[in-house]
Amino acid sequence: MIDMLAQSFIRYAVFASVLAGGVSAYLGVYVLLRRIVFVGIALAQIATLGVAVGHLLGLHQAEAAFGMSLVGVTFFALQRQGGRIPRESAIGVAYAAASAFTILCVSKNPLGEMDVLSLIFGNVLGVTETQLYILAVLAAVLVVLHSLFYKELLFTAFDPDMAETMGYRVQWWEFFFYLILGIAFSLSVSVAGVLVIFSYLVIPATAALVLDVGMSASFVVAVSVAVIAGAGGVFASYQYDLPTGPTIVAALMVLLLVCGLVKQVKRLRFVEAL
Amino acid sequence: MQPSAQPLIEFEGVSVGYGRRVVVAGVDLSVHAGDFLGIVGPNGAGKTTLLKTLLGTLAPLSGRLTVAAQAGMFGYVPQREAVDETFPLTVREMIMMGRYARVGLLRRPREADRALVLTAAEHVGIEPLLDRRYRTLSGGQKQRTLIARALAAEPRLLVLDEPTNGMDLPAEKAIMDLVRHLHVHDQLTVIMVSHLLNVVASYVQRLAIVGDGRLDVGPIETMLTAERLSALYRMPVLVDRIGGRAVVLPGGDV
Repeated sequence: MIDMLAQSFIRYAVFASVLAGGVSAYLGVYVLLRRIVFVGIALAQIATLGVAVGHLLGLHQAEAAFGMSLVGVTFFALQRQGGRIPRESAIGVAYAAASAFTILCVSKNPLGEMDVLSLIFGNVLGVTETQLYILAVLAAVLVVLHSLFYKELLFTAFDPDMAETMGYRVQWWEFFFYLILGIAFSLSVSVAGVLVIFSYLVIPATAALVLDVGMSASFVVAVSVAVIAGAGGVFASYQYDLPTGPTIVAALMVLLLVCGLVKQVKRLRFVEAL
Repeated sequence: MQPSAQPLIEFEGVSVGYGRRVVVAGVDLSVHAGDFLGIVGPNGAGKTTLLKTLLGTLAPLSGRLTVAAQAGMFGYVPQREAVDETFPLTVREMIMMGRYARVGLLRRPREADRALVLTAAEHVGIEPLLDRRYRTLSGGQKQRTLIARALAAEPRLLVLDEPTNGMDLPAEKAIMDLVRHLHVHDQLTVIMVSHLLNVVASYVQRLAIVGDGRLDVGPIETMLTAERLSALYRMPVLVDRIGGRAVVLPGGDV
């Protein structure tokens, strides 16, 4: 392992994977609890479209992804719950459109199919030092936002009606959360790919909820699962010559199963103690 | 506890609804400090729409709604079914949410907030449950937690939405006795929405009936009449008195 870390591209890949994973897993806890998993995948796909458009037009990929994410964030934030057309329809339309246009952009790109794979699974082994710094800043900003606005983000997600009664502008807080999500996706999708980012978003948070460790600890467990799977996935892919993205997703799944097993064992012990 | 002369909340010719659809029109209603008002009506009559307007989460379509400054922050107790149990929150964390608006932006709850959470829990009799997960509680315990959360905001006005839905008789009585205690001893003004006529009739001072697109309000004796309720529910309804209390029964063949 030490030998592997001696190589800078592996070191960068590990750090990038851990940072993108940690950020996505943290946000994933809110995404799961807000029951907006499909908003998550649609936003990730919209960010991917941004990367594809950026690539096609020769723009900066992260900036193009951010611009596209901003459009998606505004679109989702403006969708009213309980309106004539279900919110899910709008999410489905956005996802289908973003996926189709991503492929259209890639088909007009001289590098063709290779790009499709890198958009889906990313190219974490090719991460640059600048991308790494950007991810580190993003993670630091999220830590600050969490410590500043934890109670507001939690309250408006958990009980928007009561929060509104108490004077919170729930729609603004929702927009704020989507904005963080959009920024995180636009910066991490170009590094890790849409499938890996979506897996980071959903699997670690699910593992935390499966373990049922409580609210604050859920964030810690989710981020830990993402960090372990992110680093472990990169090492395993290098060691066994496997594609990095799918190996990270497989590592996440293994950890999810471990969490499920731990929970079952705890439950059995509890029943035995009775 | 006697209501004061100055209204805390005043509806003057207010129409409530969604978009262009008026659900209840021409609402004239005053809520005074010390009131215990029940809002009843058939399913879909507009009780929740009226409640949302009162709470400020839905703008009135027309008319004037005035909330006096001394009304302070509302202590809102939503329906238990509306609470998302996916969140792995403890009772303590749930009650603390009642303090969030008072704590303010960019600040964390302090020792005084934690003490108020404890006081609110003690007040409703759930102090031993503070570190239990909310989702593991019984219906009555969950309702007490939601009431404690509302109390933690130090409100002058408590608004309860269907607080005894789906409860058995002892749990229902225990919750309603608690609400009465809060009204009488803690001098809280109480507004309670329910579709359970007998529960409401046993506890409130005034009754507002929502139905057929309008709202009528008055004392229990004048509001709970067989004629009015039969017309409202479009079925024969009997109103009797047992031990000085109005009791509503379905009429016709049983």
